[in-house]
Amino acid sequence: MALESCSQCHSTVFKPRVNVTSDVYEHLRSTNTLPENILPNTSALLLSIEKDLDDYESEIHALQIRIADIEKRRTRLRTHAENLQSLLSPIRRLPNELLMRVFGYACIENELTYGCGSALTLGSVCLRWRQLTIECPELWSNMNICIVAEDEFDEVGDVRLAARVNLYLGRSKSHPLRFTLISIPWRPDSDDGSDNPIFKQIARQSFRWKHVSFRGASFVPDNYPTWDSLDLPILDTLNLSSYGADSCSLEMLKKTPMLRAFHAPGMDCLWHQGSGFPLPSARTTLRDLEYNLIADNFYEILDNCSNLHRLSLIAREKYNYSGLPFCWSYTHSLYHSEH
Amino acid sequence: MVTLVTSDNEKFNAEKEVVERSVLIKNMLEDVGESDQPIPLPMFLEYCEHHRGEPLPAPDADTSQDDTRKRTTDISEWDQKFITVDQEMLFEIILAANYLDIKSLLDVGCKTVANMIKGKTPEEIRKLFNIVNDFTPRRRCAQIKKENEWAEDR
Repeated sequence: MALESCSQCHSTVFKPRVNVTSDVYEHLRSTNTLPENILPNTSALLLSIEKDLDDYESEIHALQIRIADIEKRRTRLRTHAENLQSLLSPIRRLPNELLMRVFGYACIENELTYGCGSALTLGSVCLRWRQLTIECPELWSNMNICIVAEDEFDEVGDVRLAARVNLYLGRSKSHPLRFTLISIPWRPDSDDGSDNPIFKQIARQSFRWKHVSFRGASFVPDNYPTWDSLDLPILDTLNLSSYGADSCSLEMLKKTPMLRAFHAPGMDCLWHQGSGFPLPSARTTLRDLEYNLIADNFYEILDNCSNLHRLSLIAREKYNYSGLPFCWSYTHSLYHSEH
Repeated sequence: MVTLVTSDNEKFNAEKEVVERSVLIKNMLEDVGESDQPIPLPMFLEYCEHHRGEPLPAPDADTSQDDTRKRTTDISEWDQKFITVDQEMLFEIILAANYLDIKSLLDVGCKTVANMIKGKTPEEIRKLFNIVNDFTPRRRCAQIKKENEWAEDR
């Protein structure tokens, strides 16, 4: 193959064997028959053209490889520029302790039912953030979980939720847990939900429960048979809420030696009369109490919760409250509302 | 009155009560004592002026109080306005608040960044802060891949 210099880019290109001329049009348009000598000449020309076309193919292929290589180098350079720009990103200036402070605020609530939670999101941004989040159990210890009713059971969603809960429980290591559990199946007239694998996972870690909020049905032993087997040595705050006017049994709290705050707005607090007040440690630990006022046990609760700093009562109209004191010496503040 | 000098040599006069919101400056003033010498520090006079008189967090603050403070990312209207700046300035404020030991301002800055992050996917966060996805294919083991899929999933 002969070579020549490209007239435009001056690089070396192959020199074609055949020159494209306009003679062929004259022959094509001619009304006369072709001269004798043209036919073999044309066949030879076509053979040369075949070779030229092959050489063009080769040249195009070589150029395509070169273009691809140049494009690849350009992409690499662009990526390099992006990486360098990223190095200048203002957030990179934060040292780890400040970044962790930001992460702490971002992970106040990890929504696990309708998302993957902020801790996992942050850990998926880049390697540095992944290492930082994994090294901080606290970020993984706050969870919002909603267990759906059996008739709405979503196998794929529930398996994913269980996997996420498992990941968060694992990465929170031994850090005290703070979670909100909305358990739709926990109705008095149906399964208590304790067989739900997600609840089982959380229940196995009950010794780490510190700040817990439940939204479910009446908080009485019959509805929560599993509750009695829980170990709750560090439970500090328990918030209960139900879907309607409901009651809660204080007997459910008998194994909570560190309970500091108990909030059950809209719920009556009950226990088996005659068996004594069910929270022996409440006298020293319980500082914050919120429940539906019942005149019958009001004095007994006050007598047994003598270290209260805040008492919030919701009064129902059907009770006669006359004679109930709403101020007493050991209570720093009292909130009272009447529906 | 205390004279503060910024890094580009601009001088500000401020009341001691105002600048003492910075624990660093408070300690410096205590160490230096009464002096006419200016303190060479950049200052957030506007912030400190606005929050003048508010109680400073005690160094041995009750952990439960600290915990309560950490449980919210709410920012007051004035602080929100104050911190509405570009990213460059926002992170400068955070770094300076940390250096000057102005805890309340540091919290405002960190909460602002946390609020910017909340509800976003990893890709959106990368874009927002110009962070490169450096999980190279070699590093993308099955676990990271699975987690990243969950994280991108909406």
